[in-house]
Amino acid sequence: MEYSKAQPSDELPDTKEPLPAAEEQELVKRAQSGDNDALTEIVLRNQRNVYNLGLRLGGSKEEAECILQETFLKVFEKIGEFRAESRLGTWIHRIATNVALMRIRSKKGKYFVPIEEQVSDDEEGFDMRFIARSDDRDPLEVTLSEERKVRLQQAILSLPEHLRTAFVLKDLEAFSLADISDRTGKSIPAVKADLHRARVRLRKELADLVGEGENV
Amino acid sequence: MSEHTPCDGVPCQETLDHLCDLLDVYLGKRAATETCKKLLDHVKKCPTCCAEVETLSKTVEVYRHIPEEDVPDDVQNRLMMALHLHIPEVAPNNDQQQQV
Repeated sequence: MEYSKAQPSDELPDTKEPLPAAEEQELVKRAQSGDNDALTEIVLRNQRNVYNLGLRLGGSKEEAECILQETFLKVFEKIGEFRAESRLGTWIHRIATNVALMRIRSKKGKYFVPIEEQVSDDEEGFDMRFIARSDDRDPLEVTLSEERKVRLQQAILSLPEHLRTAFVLKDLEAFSLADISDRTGKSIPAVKADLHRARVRLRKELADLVGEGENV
Repeated sequence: MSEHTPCDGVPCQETLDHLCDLLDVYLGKRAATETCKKLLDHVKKCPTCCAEVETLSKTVEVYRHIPEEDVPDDVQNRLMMALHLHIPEVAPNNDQQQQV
């Protein structure tokens, strides 16, 4: 679509509050007619969500930025086709997921990374103390410190790409196994296997953090 | 879960085979099927399977609660440039961007 170079607007949209459906439709109509303020508001409302999806699927800040830009370029290209059959954020999220998966495919040539498949997960290293206290301690407590949040985030990013994709799509983005299978071209059992390996690796990282906490 | 011992007639391997579905039940994403109900009874009685299912489901819960990152200012600036959009003079902070 064509849109003119934006000019500064006098009033800033409050992007903190979610838009009611009717107002969102109005925003979309304005965007579809090339209103730059509306397009800007759409970006401001959705960039955080897209950036974080890109970060988790892409595995790096650089890749997240590429996914962010590609997504909104596509959103602007396709905004005229948006028919409000879903919420705008959901539609943008779907585009972002497709962009991220396409980038993964194009980088690797194929979805699988066979060498990484052969790396076994170190279940023996799992700290059983985490199990022992699983009933009497809120696991979220272990993520309270900023440093630990970063470590956990890093653990996701350091997963092999195919494991990270399965974990992010299923456990963080709540895609169905069938949908992930469809999007990745893998069989459902293969997706399940990736998912299990990812969870086991992340559990170990979490257990290590709990173990470190014992010594602090 | 490498040294599972059948403890009530249900092979622990069956729990592992259906772990993905069991975790969905544990995480409230779906209702238990008949197969899941049988296996969940087994999980209650089998310490090894119980530990496997509970720790994995709690792991998922923990990772789901990691807060999202704000879009760095320089990333937002480059995004707006790529889109030929103008960043408002008094741009909302990243924490004002709502999660959709």
